[in-house]
Amino acid sequence: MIISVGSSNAPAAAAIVRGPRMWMVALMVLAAVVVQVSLMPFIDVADGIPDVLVCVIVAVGMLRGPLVGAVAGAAGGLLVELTSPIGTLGVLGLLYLVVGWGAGRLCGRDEMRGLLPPVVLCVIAEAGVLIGEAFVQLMLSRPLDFGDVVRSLLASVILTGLIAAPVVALARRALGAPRVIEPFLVSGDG
Amino acid sequence: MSNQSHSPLAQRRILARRLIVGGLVVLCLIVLSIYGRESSSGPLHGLQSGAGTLVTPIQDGVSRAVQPVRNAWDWAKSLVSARDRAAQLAKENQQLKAQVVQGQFNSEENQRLTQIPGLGNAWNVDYNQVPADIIGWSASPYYDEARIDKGTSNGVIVNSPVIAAGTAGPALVGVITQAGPISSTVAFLSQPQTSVGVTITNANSAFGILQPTAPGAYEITGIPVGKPVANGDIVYTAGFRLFGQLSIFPRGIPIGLVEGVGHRATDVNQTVQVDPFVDPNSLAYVVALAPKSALAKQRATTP
Repeated sequence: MIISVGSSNAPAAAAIVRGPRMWMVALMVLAAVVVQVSLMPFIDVADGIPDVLVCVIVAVGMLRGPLVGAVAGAAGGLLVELTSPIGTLGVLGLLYLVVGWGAGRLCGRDEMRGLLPPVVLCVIAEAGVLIGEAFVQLMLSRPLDFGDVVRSLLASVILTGLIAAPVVALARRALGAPRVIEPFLVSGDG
Repeated sequence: MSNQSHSPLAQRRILARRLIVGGLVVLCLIVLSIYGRESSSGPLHGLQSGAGTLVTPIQDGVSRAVQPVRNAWDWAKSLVSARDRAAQLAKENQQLKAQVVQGQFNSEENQRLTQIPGLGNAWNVDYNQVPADIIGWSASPYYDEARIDKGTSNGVIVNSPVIAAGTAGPALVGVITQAGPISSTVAFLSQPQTSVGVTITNANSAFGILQPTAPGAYEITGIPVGKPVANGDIVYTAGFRLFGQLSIFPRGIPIGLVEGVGHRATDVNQTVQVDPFVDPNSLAYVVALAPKSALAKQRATTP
């Protein structure tokens, strides 16, 4: 499959470009998964766990568009479920895919240029992932205590918000300017 | 703009994008449903166990690296709750003193019962005790599971019971759900689907089923109203389940103390609240019980 890149808001001459640091995207997701399953669970404050992977997926989606965001999200989620003691497989893959896709829809938007919007997006995404996961737990007939869910959700969201800014800044430094990557062809190379 | 989005190339692009993302969604849903239906020895569980083994060295290293920080954090947290803990310990001390007298009687009865094969409190004889470090915790706040650094090479197998040091000696905390060569996954009793056949010797050896209700709390159901269950009674594993089926847990492992008993006027059974001896979240290491005797191995293969 030919993959080309371009700026979402600058249609220009079509150009096929080699994957713009796609290896870096893969490396970032892999590193985030390793940190998420080995280090983050130890930072357990009020039953909340900071989610470095959701920050990376949001950053990747924001900088490389919905397709790369969705693929990175699905891969990252499945890897976390494979390597961490979690009693499901496919749930996090699906939830992070939605996060990556959603963040990718905002790729290249002017309002996402600062640091605050991506941080807010990370916080919203983390809340969405945890609510989605809680919903799946209920579907699987696992009893959940509402108070504990709210407490761990709030704690996780706050902790994720705290780590989001440096993670997004690092991702921007590693991946450069936003470019939407699409299958076959996208106008302009940004 | 509209010309671009309606061009054949643009439509192919949209189609390809939808196919890729849709394919991933379908893949996740298929994996989710297969994983939910297969047994713990199924291929996807095996894949998960294998992947877990791959990251075990990394988790082991990180676990050792963060242990001092974790100890400091636990110490700081313990300072905050020191006063509450002192009051709670004084209360427990009173309860334990009262139980000493009953304990002497139970000890004699226990000695008599251990003469009967398969009934005795033989979990420390039927199993090898395998101390293990907790090297990784679940990355999801909804799962009370952890990875330990011992596996099948140490005799730990799926359904091996797991104990830990509690406020009153060793107590049951969970069971092995996945076992790889060098690491295993422990599901703690607080996992929602857990159910353990338990007995309260102080209440005429009342039998019931213990299940988690909320994090840090368990409930026993199925004990008839006539059984004299009281606050402070110790809850042990019964060694069997409903209808006398063999349990994966041997008889006689302490779990916790009764902290509440109640029933409605129309109920035939009472509901018993249990305060566990061990809080899994504060553990740094556990002891896995590797089956040694034929009975213990039979328990581990119980469906």
